[in-house]
Amino acid sequence: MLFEAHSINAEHKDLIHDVAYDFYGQRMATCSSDQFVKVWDQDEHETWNLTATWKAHSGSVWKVTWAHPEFGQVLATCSFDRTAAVWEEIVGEGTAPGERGMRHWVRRTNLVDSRTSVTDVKFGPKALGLLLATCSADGVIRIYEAPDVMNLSQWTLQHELSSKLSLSCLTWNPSFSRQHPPMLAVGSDEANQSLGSKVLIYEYNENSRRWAKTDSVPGVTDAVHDISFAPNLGRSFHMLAIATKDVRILTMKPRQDVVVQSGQPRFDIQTVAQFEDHYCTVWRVSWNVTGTILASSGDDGCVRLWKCNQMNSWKCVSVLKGDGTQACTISGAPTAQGTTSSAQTSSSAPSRKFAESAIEKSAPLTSMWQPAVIKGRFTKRTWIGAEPAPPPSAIDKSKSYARK
Amino acid sequence: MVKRFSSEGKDAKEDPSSSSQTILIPDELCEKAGLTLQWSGIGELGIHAFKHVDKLSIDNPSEFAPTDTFVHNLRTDSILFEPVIRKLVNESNGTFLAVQKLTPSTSARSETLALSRQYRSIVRACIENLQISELDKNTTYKLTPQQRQHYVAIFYNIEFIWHLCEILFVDSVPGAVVLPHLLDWIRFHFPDTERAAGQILTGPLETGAELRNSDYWDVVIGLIMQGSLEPARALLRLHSNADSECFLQAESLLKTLPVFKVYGGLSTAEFRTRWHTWQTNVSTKVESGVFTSEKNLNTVMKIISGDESSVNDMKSHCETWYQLLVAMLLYKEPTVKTFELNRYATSCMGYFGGPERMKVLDEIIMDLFECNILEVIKKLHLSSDSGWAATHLTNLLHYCGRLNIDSQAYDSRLDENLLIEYGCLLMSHNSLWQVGVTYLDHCGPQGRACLELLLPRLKPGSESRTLKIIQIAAERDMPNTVNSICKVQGMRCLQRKRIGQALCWALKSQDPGFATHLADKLLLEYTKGGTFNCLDLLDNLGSCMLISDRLTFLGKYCEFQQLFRNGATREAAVLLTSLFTSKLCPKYFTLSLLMDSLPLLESTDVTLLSAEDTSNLLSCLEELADDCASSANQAAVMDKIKLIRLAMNKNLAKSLIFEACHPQILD
Repeated sequence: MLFEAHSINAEHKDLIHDVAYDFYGQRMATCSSDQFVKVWDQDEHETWNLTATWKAHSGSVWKVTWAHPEFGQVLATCSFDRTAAVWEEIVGEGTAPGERGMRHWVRRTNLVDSRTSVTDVKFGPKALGLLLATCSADGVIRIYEAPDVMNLSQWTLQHELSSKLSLSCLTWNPSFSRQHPPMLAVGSDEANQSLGSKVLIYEYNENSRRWAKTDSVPGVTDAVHDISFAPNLGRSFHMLAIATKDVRILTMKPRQDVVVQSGQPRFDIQTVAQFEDHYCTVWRVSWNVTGTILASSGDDGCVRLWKCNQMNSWKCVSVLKGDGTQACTISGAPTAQGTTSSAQTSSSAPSRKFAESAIEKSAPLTSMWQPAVIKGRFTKRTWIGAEPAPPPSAIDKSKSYARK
Repeated sequence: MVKRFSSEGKDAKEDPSSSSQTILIPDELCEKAGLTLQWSGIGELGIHAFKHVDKLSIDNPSEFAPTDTFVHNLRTDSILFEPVIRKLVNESNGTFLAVQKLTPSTSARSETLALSRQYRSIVRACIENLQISELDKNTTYKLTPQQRQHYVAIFYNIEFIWHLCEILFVDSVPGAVVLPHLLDWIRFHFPDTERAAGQILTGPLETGAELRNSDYWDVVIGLIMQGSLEPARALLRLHSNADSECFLQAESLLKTLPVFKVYGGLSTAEFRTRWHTWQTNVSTKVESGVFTSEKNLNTVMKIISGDESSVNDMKSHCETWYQLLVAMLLYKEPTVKTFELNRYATSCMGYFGGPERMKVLDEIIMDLFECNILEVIKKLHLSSDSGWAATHLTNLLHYCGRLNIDSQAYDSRLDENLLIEYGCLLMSHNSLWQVGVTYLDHCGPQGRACLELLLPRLKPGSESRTLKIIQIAAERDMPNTVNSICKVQGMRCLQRKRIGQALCWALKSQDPGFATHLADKLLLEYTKGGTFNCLDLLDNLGSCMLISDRLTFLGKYCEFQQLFRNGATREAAVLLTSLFTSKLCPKYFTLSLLMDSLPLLESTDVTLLSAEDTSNLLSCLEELADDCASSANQAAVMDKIKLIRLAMNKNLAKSLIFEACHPQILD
């Protein structure tokens, strides 16, 4: 793989807890223990500009996530301060110079139902309407709904499910259909192995209009830190990545003949990959847009990219890690004067581009290509007709290959 | 502002045992704290320093604070995105689409051969472009000479492999003689000998050439080994002793060498007999010492006699084992079949150090001789062309019926996976995405699912780009995708307060809720300002207005206003009455609508609003009055209501009298 990079100084004065990109990858929201949320926009020159920064919570902001753009420019955050919040960007209507077109983010709602830290927050698939699920350290999953998608200040708590396990992460299944009812999975970072599976599956029952736990993933009894459903490309099964003491990829095939709550497992769950390459706890997993590459971040300070080959076996294709020796200091980074809801645009720090050039070293093949490869009729001479002319037969041949 | 870290900085420590690469992120904090990665968009990702926190963590600044924190936004890059190589991407797309029109078949067809050659000439044109751009001072391509060399190397090798693949799999008839094609392949890619011969032959055409050219015998032997007998004989005639007995003998033997021609009219068996007779003749003469006086000529004759002992002489004239292979076959087994190549290839490789000395190119060529297509594809896929060759070649071979392995080990067509990967890669590029679409089009349900996923995610740019995306989705019958894209566009317009445009998109997205919301916005705006800001659109809604009741009302209301403006008061009055009776009017707009009835009520034409119509209006008014009475601070509204009530009463009285006097009008 070959990459081109733009590095920006995120201007949080501490570690970033979470970065979320919008649907297109054109906007970026960051959150940190400084309790601020920042929004960055990419301009047509692919430069990232800080367009908003505001204090969102009274505790560290754990996670930030975007809603589908069909619902406008909407963010949700969750925090140590036991709340989750929904934010909407609005464009000012003021007529004063400089005021028109100003954007700022307003808090549309503050979800204060949890009595403990809200550890994850995710918007549901858009086809279900505007749904927001949260999970918290006391083991409660809450599903909120904005009944009128054009009015984000009204949210109703539709469902409250208690899992009896301290929850750390949740993921919506992006696909559902007649065969697949709405589904989400939660993970628990409860270390006690005797409490059983740490990954629980919940499904919505259309008839009872309720969410219920329909299955749990066997064999995952260690603490789970992150969990993510892969996009479904027309498959009949679901694919779930789990960050626990190792990285796991599971497939889940719904069993056709099983009556829910009959005590039988609802899914045929198979582990298709299990990697211990991090040699330690895995914190995060993230799928690329088509669900073909999984990124896992471990306590070993590495990110690994996993890809499925044609034989349906998963292999590590890249390892990314930090290197302080190369760190270039980025000077002159303008600091955004961090007023709440500031709409000022401060240009990002000079970005850098770095190419891990596959040509030189990463792809095994080129390095093994024979060095003196230009033996054929591909020398300058042949192509531009410089002296001396190639033998007549050569000319004839190259003519015979003339494109039609 | 943006700089490319030179890849010379050896920031990749490669573990030779695995195929994974290590990428170092130049960030000290990432090294100290660890890092995490988040995918974004299509083929982009962000990396930042990260330390896990959980419910047990104390909510304090980290040990690193205060510190600068960076987000590194990375985008997958590919040599296919280089401007100079994009031509290859676009041109090969045309050929690819032509290939898809074929039906898979194992028979050798002129169509597949032509398309294969087309692919190869595209690769060659690409190499040519790379080399021309090197000389062109004005070019804007910022390629370093090393990069250029690499690119040329990559595509040169691809063409080399493709050519052999074409001979063995595209243009092959089972059991046919392949040697003439292999000779072409070698001659084409190792042209030095021919070039040297050309140089000698363009010099003075008189004897003594071996004295003038030190490489005379090397060239002659080279030509013999490539089967270029004509120039070889021409060279021999220029030798100082060309008139001597041994040279004359050699000339006559070379002249009578039987050459196998596919359409030569000879069966393989007949040819073999002739060949044997001729070669026995050569061997006898060599053994009887006819050529011993000329050492080099003797070597030449030993080679053509197929003598085992000549292999070492031949080897010293070859750069690669496959050159030796072809030369050996030429004088030992000229009628060799494709499936027999494997055996000879292995032995030839032995002369060049065996498998241990093989490079990837050698391995791929060996795999080709072994007909191990799968291995070839696997290795090609790892090459630095982002899968261009693997994808197109596999696809072509599928249409040549050479991928029967498909069904056994894979759940889907082998080439489909490659096509999807290639298509997705192109979709991640701002200007190549449309090319990517055509690849996904040919990948069955999975490709379609990919398109449904990726099309809405293409970065919104200009309106024409959006329309193009919508058109592509519509052509593929993806209504949900179209609606979603339109809805997003509508929301963007709404955010910028462009209600009219937003309404246009809402109609395209067929979202009734959104249309209702926008209609509400327009109506409310009207009650405040008394104007509509997108009257053109509203006046021309047509049947689109039926998407939502509120929009229907808005559309009809505008129609009413238009009628009224144009003086068609009678029609206007009819429409107004129906607006009230249909109960479509939202509460907040009732007053406005009633105010609009004033001029009609006060008109001198009594027949505009009948007594029944007026009563209907009056009941609406009273309903409104009741609502207002319950809420305070509505004095201004109450005043207006009084005014309207008065007008209504007058009109009611007038119309009752009129209707009583003219009962026939009511019938």
